[in-house]
Amino acid sequence: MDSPAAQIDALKARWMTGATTSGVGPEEWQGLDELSLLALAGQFARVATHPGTSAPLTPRPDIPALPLKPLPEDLRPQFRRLRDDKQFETLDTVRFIAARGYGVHPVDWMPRRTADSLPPAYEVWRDWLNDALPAEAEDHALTAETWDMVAPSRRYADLARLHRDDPEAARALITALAPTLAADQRLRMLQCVQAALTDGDADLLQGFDGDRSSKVQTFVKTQLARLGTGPQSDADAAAEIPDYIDVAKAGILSRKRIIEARKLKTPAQKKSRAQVFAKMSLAGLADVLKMTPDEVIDAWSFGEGTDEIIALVAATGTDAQVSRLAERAIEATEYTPLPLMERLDTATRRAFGLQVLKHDDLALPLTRQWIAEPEGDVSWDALSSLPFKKITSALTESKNANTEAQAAAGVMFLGLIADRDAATRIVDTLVAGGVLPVDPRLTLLRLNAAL
Amino acid sequence: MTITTDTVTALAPDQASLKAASKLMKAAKWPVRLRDEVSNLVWGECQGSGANPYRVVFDASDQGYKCTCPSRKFPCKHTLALMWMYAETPADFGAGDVPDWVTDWLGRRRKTGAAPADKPSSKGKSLSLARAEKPEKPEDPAAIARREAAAKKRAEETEAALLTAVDDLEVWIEDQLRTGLGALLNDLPTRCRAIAARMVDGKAGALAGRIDEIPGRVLALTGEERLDALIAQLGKLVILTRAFRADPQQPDIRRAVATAEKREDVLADPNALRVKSTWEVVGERVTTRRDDLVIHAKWLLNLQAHGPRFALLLDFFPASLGRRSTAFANGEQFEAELVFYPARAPLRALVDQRKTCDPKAWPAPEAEPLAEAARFETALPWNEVAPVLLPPGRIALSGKRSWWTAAGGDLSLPLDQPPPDAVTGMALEAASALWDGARLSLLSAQTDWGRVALDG
Repeated sequence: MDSPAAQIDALKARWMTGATTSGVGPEEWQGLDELSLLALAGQFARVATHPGTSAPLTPRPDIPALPLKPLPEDLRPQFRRLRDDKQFETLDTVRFIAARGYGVHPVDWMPRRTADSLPPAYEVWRDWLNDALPAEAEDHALTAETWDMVAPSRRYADLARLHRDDPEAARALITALAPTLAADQRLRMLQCVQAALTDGDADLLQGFDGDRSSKVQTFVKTQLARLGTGPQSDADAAAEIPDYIDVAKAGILSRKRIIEARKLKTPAQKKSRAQVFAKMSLAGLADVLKMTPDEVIDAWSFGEGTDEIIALVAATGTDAQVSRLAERAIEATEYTPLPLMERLDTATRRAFGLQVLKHDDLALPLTRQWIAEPEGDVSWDALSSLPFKKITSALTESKNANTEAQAAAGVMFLGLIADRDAATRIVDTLVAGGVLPVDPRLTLLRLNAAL
Repeated sequence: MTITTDTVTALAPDQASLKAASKLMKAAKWPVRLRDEVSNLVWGECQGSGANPYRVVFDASDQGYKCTCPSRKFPCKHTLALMWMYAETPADFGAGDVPDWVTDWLGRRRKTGAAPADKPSSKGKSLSLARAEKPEKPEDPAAIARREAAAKKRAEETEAALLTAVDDLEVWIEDQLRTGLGALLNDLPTRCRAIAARMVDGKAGALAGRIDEIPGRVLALTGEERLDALIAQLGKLVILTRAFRADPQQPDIRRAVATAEKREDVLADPNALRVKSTWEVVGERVTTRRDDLVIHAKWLLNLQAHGPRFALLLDFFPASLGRRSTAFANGEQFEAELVFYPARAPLRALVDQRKTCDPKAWPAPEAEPLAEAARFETALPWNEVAPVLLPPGRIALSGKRSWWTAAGGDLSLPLDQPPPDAVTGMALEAASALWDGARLSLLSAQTDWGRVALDG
């Protein structure tokens, strides 16, 4: 005899098509009217059975703990409010909180599976999301053979360490493995030589000069330029340079030289100039002008052609040359030489960012791009000269939404960079100026002051 | 600038609002009345006519305000009452830290700085008139008799209409069986809408709402599960119609077919179950019905041993009013006396008295995870979902579907939707959820990462 479930299934099959159910169903139910049978069949599934699955159930491993203290429970709502503010990049807040030694709750925030720029402490969460954690606690020394066995979150940190301690071994590993990997992974491998780059890395980098990925190519060219072995100038372009710039003499004894780009009239002319500069190196430009590269940088007159010289130095200058031009650009103008900033190390960028902050209040949100790692360690001394009255007025009285939004973004940015004392003082200053103590735009500063 | 009684009069949209506000000016109706002198903000929580208290805030410096009630009058009576009380007795308002919900309101608020198009005016409105009690006129006995006779006639008509409606529903279900449930599945929304409309005509409003939900519930499932789900839904309707015919006045059945009791009647009922306990908000469900009525359900877990394990606070408001927030956030605990609607398995309730409390732990779940749901099923077999407190377990995956699986592995229940990624890597020490016989809907859980809300 069929089981009750099978007999009820037979009933259901009849109902599906509208066929008669006479004589179908469990014996005890015979004689009942159609609606009673329906009620019983419906309840049977609910009371007597549970849903099952034929496929195996796979539990996920535990979320790995972060090497950070958990963010205190009473501060989690503030973090969630910042997370929900679409005007603001959550990763910045996460990075700032990590710099203070705290980690967020995984329910409040998890990185994206494809995130490629995370605070290092969170890389284990990305690996966990991608089911890429090693099956057991393994501690392999990094070699071409153990590469796949080491957790992705550790591989690149280990490779950077290997490059610092045993550069030859690191270069051999990159040469052996990189060609077999995808472009993003090749790039990440090559980026591991960046921190401790030496002349010994030139051959390795030149091996990737013709890489099929433009990202890799750009990176390699930049690193070669750092070593002073960047691309050479094109002879035809060098011949055209005198058509675009003038070198004048200034000063009492006419000893000081000034390089000025000629004013061009049409977009087509400007485009041609940009193309000529793009084929030049800083060393090649200096040769044409019979000057040293440092003299070219010192003599450049900012104004016409500034974009071209910045792009040229960013692509072909050494670190010292890049830094020299950035300093001159900031002193001479309010220009934001982002391509140069991208070449500089974090400490130099921070120094320049703070320099800009001191003399240009409008640059508050712009400076954000210069201070790549919001570490929350800038003191009140560096920030006290900011025009807080103007910021307060923009937050409380401005009828212009853009002005208000820019001031709000600036206040958020200050929350990322200020140290605890500075954050407290900024809040006090803004509140004394008329901003409500509970104004949500102070959330990050308040979180900062509490961490 | 601060709030004066003149300000309240001027802001009131009409005299009736002031009258309504005056009735709310009792300390007992306001478990929370606080202010922050620095920011000039005043806020409170009022036990209004909904199951959840309303949250009210105003800015005393510029009279900006917000209330979570669904009133279409601005400001509503709750705002007016809070302003009025503040204008007369500010000392009754304690100093408090500005809560997150007030800060959130400030963040969304836009101060235009421009004068309103219609300047508020006190003309035609008076606080003293609002407070004045009208002397009750002695009623004419003949009028009372006429009114009672009319009410009796209306009740008889309603009973007849309801009986006709349940008869119609049974005939309709028989027709569907005769023509085949396959055809019904192919045309489910249209056919359900048609019979639901007939239920509305027959004064069976609750039944109509339920039938309207059937297409959404059934068609959300996989193709192979739909027939079983449809049979379960129709079967429960049959149980309900038969139960109604057997005892049309039984409160559970009446509520499921026609309409719920009035809040005032439940509160005034001397036989109503009243449970003083510590409650935790474990979840919220907001659903919009086809007729654009939003149902706001808050699930409470009883943290003490006596009384029902769960309680449900239900509020209804039109979708046109937009999303409303309620006073209780997931995870909030409070001590309160809850008044339960009369029921064989008490669940739906109203908050009568409430106060804050020290944090308490969740009670231990029962050994049999679905025992609570089974008790609901036995008492109210037409019931669709039942709250459950699940023992230790974790989330497991089977293909794309997520399952809750008990720590011992002896029970696994499929989830209605995948939980956040993070939760799949947590040990769930206990979880509160809703079980509908086919799917588990997680509300919140105690985990090795602390308490997590899963209803968002």
